[in-house]
Amino acid sequence: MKVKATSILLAGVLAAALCLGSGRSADAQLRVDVVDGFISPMPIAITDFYSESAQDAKTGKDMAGVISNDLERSGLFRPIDRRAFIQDAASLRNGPRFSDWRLINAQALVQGSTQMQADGRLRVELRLWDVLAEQQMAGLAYFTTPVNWRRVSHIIADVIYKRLTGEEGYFDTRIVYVAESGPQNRRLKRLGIMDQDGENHRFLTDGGSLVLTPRFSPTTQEITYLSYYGDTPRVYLFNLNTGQQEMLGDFPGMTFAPRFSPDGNQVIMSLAENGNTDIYTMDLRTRRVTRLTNHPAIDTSPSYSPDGRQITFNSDRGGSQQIYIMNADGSNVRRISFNEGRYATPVWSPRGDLIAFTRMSGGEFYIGVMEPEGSGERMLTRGFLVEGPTWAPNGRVLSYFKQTPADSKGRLTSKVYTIDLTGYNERELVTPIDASDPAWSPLIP
Amino acid sequence: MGRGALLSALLHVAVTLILVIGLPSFVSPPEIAAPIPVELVDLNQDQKPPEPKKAEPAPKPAPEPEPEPEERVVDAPPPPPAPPVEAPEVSEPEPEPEPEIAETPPEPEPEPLPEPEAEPEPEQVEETPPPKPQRKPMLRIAMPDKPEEPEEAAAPDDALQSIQKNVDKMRRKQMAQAAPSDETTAALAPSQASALAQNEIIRIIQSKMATCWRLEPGARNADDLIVVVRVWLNPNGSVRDVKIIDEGLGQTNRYYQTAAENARRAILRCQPFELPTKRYEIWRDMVLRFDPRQMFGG
Repeated sequence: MKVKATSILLAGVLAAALCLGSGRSADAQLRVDVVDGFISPMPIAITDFYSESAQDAKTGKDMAGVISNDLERSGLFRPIDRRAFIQDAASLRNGPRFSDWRLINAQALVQGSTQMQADGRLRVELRLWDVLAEQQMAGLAYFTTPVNWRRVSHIIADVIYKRLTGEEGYFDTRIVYVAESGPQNRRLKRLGIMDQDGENHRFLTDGGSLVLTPRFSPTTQEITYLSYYGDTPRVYLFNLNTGQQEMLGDFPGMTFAPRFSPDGNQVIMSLAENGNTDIYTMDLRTRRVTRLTNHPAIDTSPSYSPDGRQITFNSDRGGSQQIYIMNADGSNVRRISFNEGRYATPVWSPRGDLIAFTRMSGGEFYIGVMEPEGSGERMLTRGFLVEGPTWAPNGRVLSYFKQTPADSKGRLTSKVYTIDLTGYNERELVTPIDASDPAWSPLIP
Repeated sequence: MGRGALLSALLHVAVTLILVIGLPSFVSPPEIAAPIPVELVDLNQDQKPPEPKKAEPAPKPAPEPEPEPEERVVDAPPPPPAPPVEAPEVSEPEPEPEPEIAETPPEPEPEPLPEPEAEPEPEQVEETPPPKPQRKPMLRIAMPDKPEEPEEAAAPDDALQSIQKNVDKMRRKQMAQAAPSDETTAALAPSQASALAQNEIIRIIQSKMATCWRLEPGARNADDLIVVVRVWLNPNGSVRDVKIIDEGLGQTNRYYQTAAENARRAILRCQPFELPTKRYEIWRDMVLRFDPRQMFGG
């Protein structure tokens, strides 16, 4: 009897102790909800790419400059002034002294080197460091011809951008546009092309005939554009690598050049026939034309979704210019824009989550974005005349052009701009003369 | 056995009687002194943080009777007075019985003066809007000294006044040191005390992280990118280890990886965390959940 009582008592004490003990350990893991932060460009330190030889050292400095410009212009990074750097390039070769970089508040560190190889190629090495976690984030080496250093810089900037933001890069791209000059009633228009940072600019046509709406192929280094031959608009295919031009055909009544499908095999366009404008696709291999819309209203300005399964376009079948989407075969047409004003030039983001457009309301023009179902509409910029949005291949940055009103002498200015999809970081893209109708290339293969 | 049982029974009865009646007293009862009349004066009339104003006009070396009778409150057994932590900010150098404090169970006042006074502190902190400034004295004991300087500047010619001020100073020091007091919070129910301390620790971490957590708003489905991180801290507040707890989106989603790295960078940037050492067992191992939805207005 006594033994039982004692053991029961002991068991009771043990149970109580266990309850208390487990209670305490449950309290031990604190859970904190962090809901407040801030939005600001990431401070990053970009060191000159080191080299043994003086010539390559200059290249290394230029490369760091291009990378720094790219990252800074994206609006997501803030390169730290190199005069603030504590650790010097020589000691950096043995590894970063992270405390030195933390001291100047760098969160990432870009280190590189260039070395001329025996076969005349340049070897470029990149190391990207996480200063706070004291780890290497990326380590890559590239081999290229020395004259190609600028392109390698953009490629490296893309690697850094992608690793730190999760987005695909967009620095190794080009922008084709219409270069304009002259008074309003006699505008001279030529095709121009440049790197996305404005460098390496050249003209593609001589301005002899009017050129409009250049568009990039997603797969090849080809451009389509409209050119007027007499009064007839013609669609041309221009190969950037070979410089060869090919005429796709006469397309009377066409106002926009065709856009490519994501697989590059089709072009989609709007054609006017018997006074009715509808949307057609043309297979580039067979040249067969398929009609997609059949409606008395004006259906124009089509653009494919990145998966090629849907199309967004502009129609006034509802009474005013609005944005619609439909399946790639022309079925299931539905309207997605409903706010005040008129909507035009819808372009589907390569990321798939947004459609950009031009909107006219209250006498002003806007560039805006909305989700493919029509919700989340946001205006990014406004102006007297601002239109023609085009997406960078990562779907994060937009380009468009702005035109000022003509003065008494008929002079006006037209400039191309870029902006982040959050609406921040609007920047002018500097061109030799006036510019309009930009089109962004895919990443250069 | 009968004798044993009888003896046991007798003892039981004796114990019961003692319990009921009480032990016989062999000492005469102590004299009860006549109660000292205490005047409770409303402090607000005389209260100024820089007390020298009062002392200077009366440069008498002789101790004066009661220039500030309210100081007597020190001796009388008052209910726990105002939180001393507020003293530097709220400019109430003398703690006084405040109605709010009545909430706390009045503890035996005798020596542990600072302790009962510190008790209502956590509760008070929660009622007032800015808990942060009140926390500072907890960590930097030097703070309460500042309001004392003007007092010391006043020549303590008045001996009583100097005594009062010294006691004040002492009490404030004790209260500041005892602020993160475990002894007082231990006086509350353990779960109550640790819950209060937990809330305070959570607040400290949240406000610190707000200055370190850099967000990426343009990411795809940015408001879905919730990151859960487990953090181990050293006693000095530095980070011992950080681990991202995979919530299923997986390493393949580059946006999630970026968000996770940003969260990790925020934690590393925020160290060392200034948290009460006495409560180390609470914040030694914790889970931080970074949720951007509120920031994106979603």
